[in-house]
Amino acid sequence: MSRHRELSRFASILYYQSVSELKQEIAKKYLGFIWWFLDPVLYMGVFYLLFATGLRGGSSGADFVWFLFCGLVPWKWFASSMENGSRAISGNASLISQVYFPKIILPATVFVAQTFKFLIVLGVLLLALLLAGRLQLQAVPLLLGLLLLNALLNVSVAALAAAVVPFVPDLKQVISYSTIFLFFLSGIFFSIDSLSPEAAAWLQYNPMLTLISAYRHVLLGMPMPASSSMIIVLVETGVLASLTALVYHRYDRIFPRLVV
Amino acid sequence: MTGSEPLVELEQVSLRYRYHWGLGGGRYNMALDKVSLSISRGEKLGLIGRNGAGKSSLMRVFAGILAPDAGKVLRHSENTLMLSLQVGFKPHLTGRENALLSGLYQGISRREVEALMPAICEYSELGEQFDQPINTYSMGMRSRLGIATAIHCNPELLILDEVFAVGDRVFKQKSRHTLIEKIQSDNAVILASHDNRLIEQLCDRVAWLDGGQLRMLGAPADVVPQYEDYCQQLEDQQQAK
Repeated sequence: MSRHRELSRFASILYYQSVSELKQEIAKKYLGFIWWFLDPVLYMGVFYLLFATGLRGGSSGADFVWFLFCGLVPWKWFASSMENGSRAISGNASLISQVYFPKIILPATVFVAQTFKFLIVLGVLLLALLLAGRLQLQAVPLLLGLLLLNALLNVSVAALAAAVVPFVPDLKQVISYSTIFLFFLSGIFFSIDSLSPEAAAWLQYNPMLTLISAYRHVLLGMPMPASSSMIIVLVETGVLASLTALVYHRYDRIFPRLVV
Repeated sequence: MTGSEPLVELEQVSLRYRYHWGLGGGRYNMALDKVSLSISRGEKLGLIGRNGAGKSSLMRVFAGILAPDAGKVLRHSENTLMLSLQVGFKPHLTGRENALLSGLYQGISRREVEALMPAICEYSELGEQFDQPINTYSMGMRSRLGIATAIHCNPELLILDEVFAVGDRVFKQKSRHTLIEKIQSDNAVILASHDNRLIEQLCDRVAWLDGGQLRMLGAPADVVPQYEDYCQQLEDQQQAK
């Protein structure tokens, strides 16, 4: 069996598994695929009501809402990839004990499905920014680069989470709590510039804090994070991606024994 | 038909499963203990042994699903498949979509499965329901779809855990006949079964596993009677108790 044929087969598995995951989500809903659009609109609508209309008590203003959206949207992509990814191998025990295929396909499937939904949300956000006259079209090439870096980070984190849970199932809970913890440390509600130098020195190692600041630079024209912080994100992503490749190379045929 | 060219060779293979993991360390169950066995191109190898003897684990090592803890696996072909029914089936997908996904998992390319689709549909006897979600199917219909997809796979080494026959009486006969035809084809086959007559009839060599170890390997006429004597002794001992 040629290598090319095998790779093409694995790519087909990834594609059809991802389609299946998305179909499963809408299969039992009355409004079906409309939820893919409705969900982000409602999600952002809740924050709009809370922060822009004064419902929260003391309006924070429309500017804060855009600031918030540009943090929440990439955060949701990262968090859902990591949380759902952590169950990708342990939740497919029966499948992986019946046939061989590279296990990286399982978290990659989760990532593809989450990315599909993220791109819809991003589309809604970009459209809203465009209608509000805030979108800077010259920033689009930088946005693509940022999305690629964020995608590599997300798929690596999802795959590593999927790989460690079969070894220590308790980590599923730890990952869940870590997501909540990271939510408050990723600058969704605050700007990186508002941090004390001590806090900023520590938090620059959180890649999502830097990436969210970079998204705000691209979409809202806010200051770009320091180049040293961007280099840290690049190095961290590279290390995580290499570690993912190593772990899956080493344990690909071990996972079925751990999840029986 | 037995060839001398080896397809997969196992040397001193040991494998254990972790059944508990926590503070104080892990607890393991030894499934295979230093097993050396190989299969050649075109050979039919039978696996016999009581439940829990290690047959399923050995088949999974041959199929490349599991890597052993110790020992060597020399693989001269990657085109091996342990036949499974309904592998990767998703309830909300149609019969056609599930056949495609299941075929992909079992080693067939997308183009090949698409080309085989009319044959899979016809074999499954599902008619128009082939394009409906399988959560509307009965268990028998799902099994028919599973076997219709599985029998169209054509690996160099086919691994079968029992010659399963599914569906109603007529379909059972048809699927059993097809599987036996497949075993008798030019492909190498590993067949695990509790049907000793079938093993004698179809296999060139038989491996008897007991407690994760290879107890005996040889011609069916030598191994099967010894295994049956052993089972008889166990039965007698139990009745005496």
